[in-house]
Amino acid sequence: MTSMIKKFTVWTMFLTFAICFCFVYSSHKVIAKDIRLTAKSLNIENARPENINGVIYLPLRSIFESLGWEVSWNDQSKTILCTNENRVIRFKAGSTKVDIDGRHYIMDEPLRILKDKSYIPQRFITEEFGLKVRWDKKDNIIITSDNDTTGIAVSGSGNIVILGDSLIVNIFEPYSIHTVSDMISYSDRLLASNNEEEAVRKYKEILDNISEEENPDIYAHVMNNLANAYSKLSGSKDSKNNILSAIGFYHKALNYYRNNNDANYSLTLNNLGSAYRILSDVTGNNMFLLNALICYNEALQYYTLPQHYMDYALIQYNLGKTYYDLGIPELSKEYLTDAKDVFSKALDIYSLDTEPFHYATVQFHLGIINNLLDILCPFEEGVTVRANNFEETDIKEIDNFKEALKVWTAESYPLNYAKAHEHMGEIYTKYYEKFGNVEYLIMAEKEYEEAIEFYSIERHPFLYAVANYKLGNLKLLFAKLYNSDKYIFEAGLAYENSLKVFDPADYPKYHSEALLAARKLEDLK
Amino acid sequence: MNTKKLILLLETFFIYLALVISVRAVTASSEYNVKINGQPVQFTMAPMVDNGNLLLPLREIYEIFGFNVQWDDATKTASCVKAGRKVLINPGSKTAQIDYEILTLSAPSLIVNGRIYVTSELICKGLDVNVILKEDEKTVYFTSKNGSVVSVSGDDNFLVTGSNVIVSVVKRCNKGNYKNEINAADNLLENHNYLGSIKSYEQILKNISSEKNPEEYAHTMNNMANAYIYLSFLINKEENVLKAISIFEEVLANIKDVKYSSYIADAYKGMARAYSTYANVRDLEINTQKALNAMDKALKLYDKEKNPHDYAYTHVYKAFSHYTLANVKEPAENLALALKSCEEALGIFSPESNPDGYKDAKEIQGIIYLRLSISFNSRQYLDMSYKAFQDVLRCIDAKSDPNKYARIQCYIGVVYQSFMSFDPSKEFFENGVAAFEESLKFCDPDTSPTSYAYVELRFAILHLQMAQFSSDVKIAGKAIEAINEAAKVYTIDQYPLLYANLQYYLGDCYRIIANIKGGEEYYVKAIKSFENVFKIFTLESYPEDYASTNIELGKAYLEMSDYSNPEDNLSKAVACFNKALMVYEPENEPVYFLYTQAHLGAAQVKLAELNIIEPSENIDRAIEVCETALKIFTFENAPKYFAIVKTILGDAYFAKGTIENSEENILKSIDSYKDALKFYSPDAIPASYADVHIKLGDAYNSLARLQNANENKKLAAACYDEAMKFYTAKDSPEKYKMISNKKQ
Repeated sequence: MTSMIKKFTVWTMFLTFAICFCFVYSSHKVIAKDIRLTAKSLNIENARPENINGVIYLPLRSIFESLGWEVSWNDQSKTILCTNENRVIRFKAGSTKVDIDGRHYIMDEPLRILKDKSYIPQRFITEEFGLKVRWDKKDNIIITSDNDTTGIAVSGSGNIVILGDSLIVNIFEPYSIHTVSDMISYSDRLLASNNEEEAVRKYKEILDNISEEENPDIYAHVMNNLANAYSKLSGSKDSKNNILSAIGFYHKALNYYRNNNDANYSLTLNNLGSAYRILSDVTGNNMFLLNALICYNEALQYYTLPQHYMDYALIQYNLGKTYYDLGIPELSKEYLTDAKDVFSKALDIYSLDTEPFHYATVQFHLGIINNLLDILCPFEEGVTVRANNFEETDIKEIDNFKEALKVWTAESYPLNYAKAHEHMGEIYTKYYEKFGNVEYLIMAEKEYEEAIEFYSIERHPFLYAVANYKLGNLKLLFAKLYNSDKYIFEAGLAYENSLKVFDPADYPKYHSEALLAARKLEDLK
Repeated sequence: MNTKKLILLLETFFIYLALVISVRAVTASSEYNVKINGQPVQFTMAPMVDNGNLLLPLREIYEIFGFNVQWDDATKTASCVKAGRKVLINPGSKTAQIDYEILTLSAPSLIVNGRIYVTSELICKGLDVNVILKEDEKTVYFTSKNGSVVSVSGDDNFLVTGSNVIVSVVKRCNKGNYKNEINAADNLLENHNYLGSIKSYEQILKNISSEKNPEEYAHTMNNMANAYIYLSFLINKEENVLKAISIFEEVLANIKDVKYSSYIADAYKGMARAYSTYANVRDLEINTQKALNAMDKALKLYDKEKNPHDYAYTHVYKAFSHYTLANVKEPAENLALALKSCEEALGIFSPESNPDGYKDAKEIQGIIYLRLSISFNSRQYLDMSYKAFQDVLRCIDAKSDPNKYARIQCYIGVVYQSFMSFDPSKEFFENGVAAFEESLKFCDPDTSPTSYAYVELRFAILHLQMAQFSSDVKIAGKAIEAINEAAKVYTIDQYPLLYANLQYYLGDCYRIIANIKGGEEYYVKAIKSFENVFKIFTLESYPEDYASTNIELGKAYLEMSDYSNPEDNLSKAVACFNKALMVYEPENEPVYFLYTQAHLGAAQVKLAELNIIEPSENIDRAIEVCETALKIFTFENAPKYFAIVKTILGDAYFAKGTIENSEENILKSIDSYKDALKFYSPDAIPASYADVHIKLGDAYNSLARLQNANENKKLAAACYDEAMKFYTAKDSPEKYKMISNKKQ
């Protein structure tokens, strides 16, 4: 079986940036001979079906309202809007297209209006809201709503008995193992080509069709890549939920890898460490950094030099950054210096001409490391000279990013391009704060504005918000310098933009920081 | 959408339990519900009351309680068997046998509608349950004595009780032929229902695998990817194209057997198409190269005789790839290859034998001719392009293929726009507007944003072209409006190449407005837009676009020098023109080379006038360049360029006149300006007409100092008056003031 599933390995240590949507449902997978399940009664009322051209339809409003949704009809656009907490489903009269939380879905048959009531194919209801039961045609299934299945005796095979009121049940036979294999292979490819949302959807479909007990290796593989997909998504949007999902799935994958001495163990550990770091960043809770440290340290044991050049350097880098965020400069400096040495040597292997992407990746990390080291030990290498002679080419960490940008062009690697510019913006800001030369501030402004062009609020809300927050801080510096209303206004606008995304529940740290900054701005007025 | 059956593969059934059941009973009109230990149970045959006796359907009730019920037609006996217990019933008889005991019944068993109905005592005794009929509730209650409520035995029974229960059961067919399902999905694809077909293909894929059903798998995957390519023309281009590529890669990774080489070839063909589409989004050269590689592989597998259509289609995509590649390298060679591939395809496709292929090939042919007409400044190619698109239009109608219809109408609009560079008549403009408006009827900004943005951009370019001639601020404004519509879709992160194109045209729009209004403001906007272009169009990757943008940027600096920092702006202009000349060589691109040289000359003349560079030498060089250019840009072949260069030449002679042989040079400059005015008519191109009249007025004024003072002064004044007809005090205050001063 294992050989059928192509192992998927990306350099997931470089968490890049992407897009998301996720759908959580309950699903039951049991492999006993008699599947006995208890289903929760839903208080569905008046779910009286209509048979239209041989297709069973159900009244939309009564079902959705029974399930706690609000339903509203827009007569002008002939659309129906169903909302429940932060979920939105949009139907259109006569159309098979449905918009589920921004995702396109096609029903088998269109929504119909009968006697002023809207009806949807029941298949939509069972698929979206049904209790999922995986069933291989041989097993018997017994489902009741009153916890008591003892009064039911079933013998033979392939029998289905459902007793109870107000139940929605979706019983389906799983895919064949060959189909599962094809699907995993396709999902892995989607993930590798940065289509995380679609990959998540496919992996979840796979999960409905396999079980941990029957196919532990496949299960672990799906868990790991599902986690990778969520982790990538968290960099773009809905960060907290996505990274929490990722962490959960990493743990499940690790359980298997640990017990089976799987080669993916150390890699996944590192990825889990990075996921904890993201969680810490989003929530502002430094405790998660300690979890990250544990993961990285354990992972590091599996990597030795010179066999695992890149991996080793990356973990050192991750450790260095974690200690930095924890406010432990000595250890941070130690690890970062180590990472810098190894990365610098890596440049001998990855040259601009032969391995351009790796070259850019290494330069990018060196840029970050050099910047952090410069902050940790500012009085080395005679930086003061730069204060008086403004010469941007003097800054070594900027040079690193410029080297990376030789490969990461706006056209070919738009998000990497933007990230590099964002970092350059930070560095110029740092030099302004250090030396007070306004030229640096102007450079920083340019860099941030360049980066923001690539972060659309729809596609990359998190990146958009972070960059806007930083831009706001920068404009505030301008405002203080020139005492100018124009900059105060622009800073306010940038903070406002960031707060469109940073709501207190999902981004507690960023929300409070941006809010505080916006208040300070008010005082300045 | 209504005729299809999407889940044909799945044996699906749905059960609903509503409390009302209709029974066609012979005697009883009342209906009874059944509850077993309090749970309602639905029967297809309801209990009934006959002559005061409660009668119940034998088979259904015994089966619910786990009995196996069989009918022996020879002895007319029904036997119900479960775990050693045996119940025998003869319909019509007043007795029944339970195990070895004979039971006498209060009423005989009946056959109603082919089903056996028995009295409740046979149920009580046989099943060991209590049966109570509550007439007021119209319900029959069964309560078990031994605690077992429901007992099911046998295979594949399906029992649902209760109200408001919604169940779907999906079974997969493990064997069988998927032809019908695949045909149905293919049909959706052919009818341009892309999302519907993708959903159908996904359903099919859930039932098959590359291992067990390689042919079905390959066919389904290939066509699903094709559906994504079509979808990419309408929405989320990059995302959909990348999905298509991933799917083709999967097919190639999973299907290797030479037996299936036609499917493999199809995957390569599709991949080629996907990459050539992607090449128009980003990384043009790399992606086109990937497309061409895939095509070569497909062509190796297709036999021209055996698979003529696939062979021909591959050539259509090949033509498109070479056409695309011509944007970045070896335009002449690539366009020639593109045409050749198109002809190869058209040798196989005819409107009768394969209308789809014919339409696609003709469409590509049309855009190749269009490109050739621009490259070689040839009206003949433009006519051919127009004809090709009309050929396509004859084969399609808006209803059956709205997307293609919209695209072709858009291309026809572009053709009209190109006609305007030969003849700036209002008629072409209006025809172009009509074509774009027709196209826009079928491009919805919500459902097909990609095609909508494309038409808006081309619509803007048409207005831009018109504005260049008419110098009408309103038309330029309209162009900017349309560009802003397109800009909502063409963002730098998702559509880098189209973003860069858009910024280029936006810059041009601002430059035109700047030219009419005067002053710095709009030039600054134009320059910003042109600089945005360079984020994508670098010298290394897009030399042609890099060069043409530099020319436009150079022109902006050149014109802006009239209003601010002449030295600084002129040297920037020179730098831009020199950058353009890094790309254009006299052998490969004579037209653009000379055009750039002429503008460089114009900048140098201005610098020379300011004494920033050595005057006479630079002016002479400008004159020489212009004279060379005019050998190619004749009034007949290229009237627009002719007029531009003549104007620059006039400037050069005028400048030379301030240094030496004044009279002779000024007369030459007057002649040059007059030549330019052959093209610049006051109706079609009023701004240039006015601009050249200002220059002409300056020249007459200078001449007046040397000869026939009065006469020339009069001529000069007449020229200024002519210019002031266009530059009115109201619309162009700065220019009006400038001309008034000159006149005095």
